[in-house]
Amino acid sequence: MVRTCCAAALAWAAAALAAPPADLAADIAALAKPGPDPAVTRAAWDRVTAAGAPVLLPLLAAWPDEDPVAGHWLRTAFDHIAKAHPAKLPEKDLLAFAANDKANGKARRAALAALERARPGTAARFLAERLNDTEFGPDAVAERIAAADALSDPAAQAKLLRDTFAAATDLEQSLLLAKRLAGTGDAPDLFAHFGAVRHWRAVGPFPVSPEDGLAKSFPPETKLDFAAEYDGKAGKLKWARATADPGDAKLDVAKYGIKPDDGAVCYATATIKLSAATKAEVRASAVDNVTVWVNGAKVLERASEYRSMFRPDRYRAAVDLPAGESVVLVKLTKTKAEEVRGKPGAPVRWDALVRFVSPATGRAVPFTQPEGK
Amino acid sequence: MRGLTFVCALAVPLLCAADWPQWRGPTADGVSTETGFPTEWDGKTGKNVRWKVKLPGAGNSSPAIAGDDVILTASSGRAHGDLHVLCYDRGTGKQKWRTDLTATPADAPFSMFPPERGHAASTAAVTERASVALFGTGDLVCVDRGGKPLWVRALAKEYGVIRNDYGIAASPVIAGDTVLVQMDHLEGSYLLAVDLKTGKNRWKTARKFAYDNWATPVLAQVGGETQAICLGTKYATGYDLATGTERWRVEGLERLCSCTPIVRGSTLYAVSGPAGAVLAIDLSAAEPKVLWKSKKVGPFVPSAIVANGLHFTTDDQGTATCLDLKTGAEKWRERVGSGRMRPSPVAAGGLVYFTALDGTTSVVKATDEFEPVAKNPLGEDVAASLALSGGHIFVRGDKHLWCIGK
Repeated sequence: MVRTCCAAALAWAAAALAAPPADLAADIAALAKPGPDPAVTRAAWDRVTAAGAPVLLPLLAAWPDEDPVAGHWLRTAFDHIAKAHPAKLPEKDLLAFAANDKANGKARRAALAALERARPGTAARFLAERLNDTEFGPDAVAERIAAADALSDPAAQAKLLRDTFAAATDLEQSLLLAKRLAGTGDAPDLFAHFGAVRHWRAVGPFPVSPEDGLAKSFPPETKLDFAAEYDGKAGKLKWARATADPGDAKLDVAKYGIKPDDGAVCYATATIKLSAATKAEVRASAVDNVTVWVNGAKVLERASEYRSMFRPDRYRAAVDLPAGESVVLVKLTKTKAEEVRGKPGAPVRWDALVRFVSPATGRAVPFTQPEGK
Repeated sequence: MRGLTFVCALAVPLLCAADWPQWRGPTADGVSTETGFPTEWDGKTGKNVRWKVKLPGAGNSSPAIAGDDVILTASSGRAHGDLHVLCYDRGTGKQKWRTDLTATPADAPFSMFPPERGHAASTAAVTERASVALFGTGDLVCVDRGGKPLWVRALAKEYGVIRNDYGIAASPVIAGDTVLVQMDHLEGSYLLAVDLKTGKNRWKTARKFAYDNWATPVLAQVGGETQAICLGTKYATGYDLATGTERWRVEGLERLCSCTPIVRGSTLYAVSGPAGAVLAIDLSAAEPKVLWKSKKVGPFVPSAIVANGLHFTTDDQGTATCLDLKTGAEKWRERVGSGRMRPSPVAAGGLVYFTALDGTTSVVKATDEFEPVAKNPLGEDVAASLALSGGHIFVRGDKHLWCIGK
């Protein structure tokens, strides 16, 4: 995919402008794949920046997807030239490059930033048309949220928020939009929007010390038997149905009597059903530790003796979801708390959020949850 | 004393006395040997404001001053994906150059704590020839004094995503021809030493016991060798500057270490939080020992000040405490700020400047009896620490860079 994008972008740049002379092309390649000696890379940088505006597009086209160091060399060279020669910017070509969603997203941003410097207002006009753009979509959403805030007509405001919510892929932006929409009387479905699991079964807390909880396995990891009972800290543990909060899609197991004591372990499981096999990315967030299995395979694990705060979409892994039913199992482990967490008097929570999205677009993978499972 | 002089020479290569070239200034302790800094100003009326300029991005990093340059870092854009190294003329505030970089994707955008956080919490370190900037994304950048790149690193790409629940704030430290970076986070902390000229690793030492911390390392002579001393996750730890080998570890700190320690002679003064004690650690032997430990008066975020044989701190709610440097005995405890305190205090000319998050700086005498001198509103939130240089005070506000003075 990365190679395809780069090749497409290079071909596009070659078509847009005459290719740079061979020595300059070698220098641009040296920036795109920096060698071990930064003095050599810097010498190439000096020669490239001396070449001026003709190398602007080739610099952007050379930007690789997975090398931030190359990105730094290329961007600084691009900016240096663009600032030194504002009257010679190939504005049409830069705008076309920024609009090319097959090109490197960061290079597209550099192109747009140069245009915005040259002609303030360009970015706002550009973003107005990029709501579904994988790179600029969140920027366009932010612009629309600001535009909605400025509207005085409640109906127009609600419509703009609704349309924007439908396009939003960023979790925090989507939550913000859902909250605003709830204020207008709408009830947006965050589960469908996020690809988040709504219906769960949960069991816990299992009796372990903080030190044991990370390494110790319990029966749900080997067999899911919803009729089984397990020894718990205070009597027998049974599976209970649990539903994530429609306001934020988080599953708070504390609501179901599973107390987040130091070192506590609990499990939550769900069945999801897809109409077709899909390559997906599972994104999981939890307070402290989280392990995720999909169809019996461990796909993601954060296991540390040290605490961690809930950060949206913090842990990610690629998964192949088959057509039909898939079983998701989540293990949550609390680390030892060294001080009271949260605001004094606030309800105790033990949150987790698990969702499945397209790795290409960040949009929800559509699935259903079979009744009774 | 000879050791201290040597360490300072290492830390500030070939710069002028009036420079403030790194986090906490030329001696890494927030103290200026200059005098004659303003004691009164008002950002709202313009009293004693020489200039102010709007900043292109967010950040809690402090200004570094070298020659005519004021160097600052910032981040902006969607998810703070644009990183900036900025240079302003110290006399006029005019922007001299600006180098923009594209951030390595981060663990999380840090937008939940005001002022807006972003990825620019670490203060740049500046030498005669170069500025080194570290961002919370792990992007470590060295540019020449004209802003052109000399070398760049992407530490998250090399060593894994940086997961610090509040972002990285430790500043890079230049020790001779070595740049030190303390990267403490939830999954794989380390202390890194790289060659200032090439950016290549000299050594990298894992800090397996350390998690989220924000303190900047300091340099000291311990047992006849130059060491980097790091605070983090309950310990002060000494590392041989030449090899990165851990030499000693002293327990007694709190779990979260935000404050940069202070070296005075052969003693290290360390604070940690929240509500941790102040520790004085004897560095005169190869195995450092705790000399004294105060009652629980330590700050969480602002580092301490040592001046006139006294130790000054503020807690995060604005209550300052003065301790005797030799014994740790409390001299006074007074409120110096309303609301939260985030910037670390600075000192010069027998005065200590305590700045609160609301931008108000309280000036008090550095004496063993509480004696307030002035209270100066800025009219803008301030989370960064003040920089003192050439008779001027440089303040990085939430939206502007300010120069206070005539």
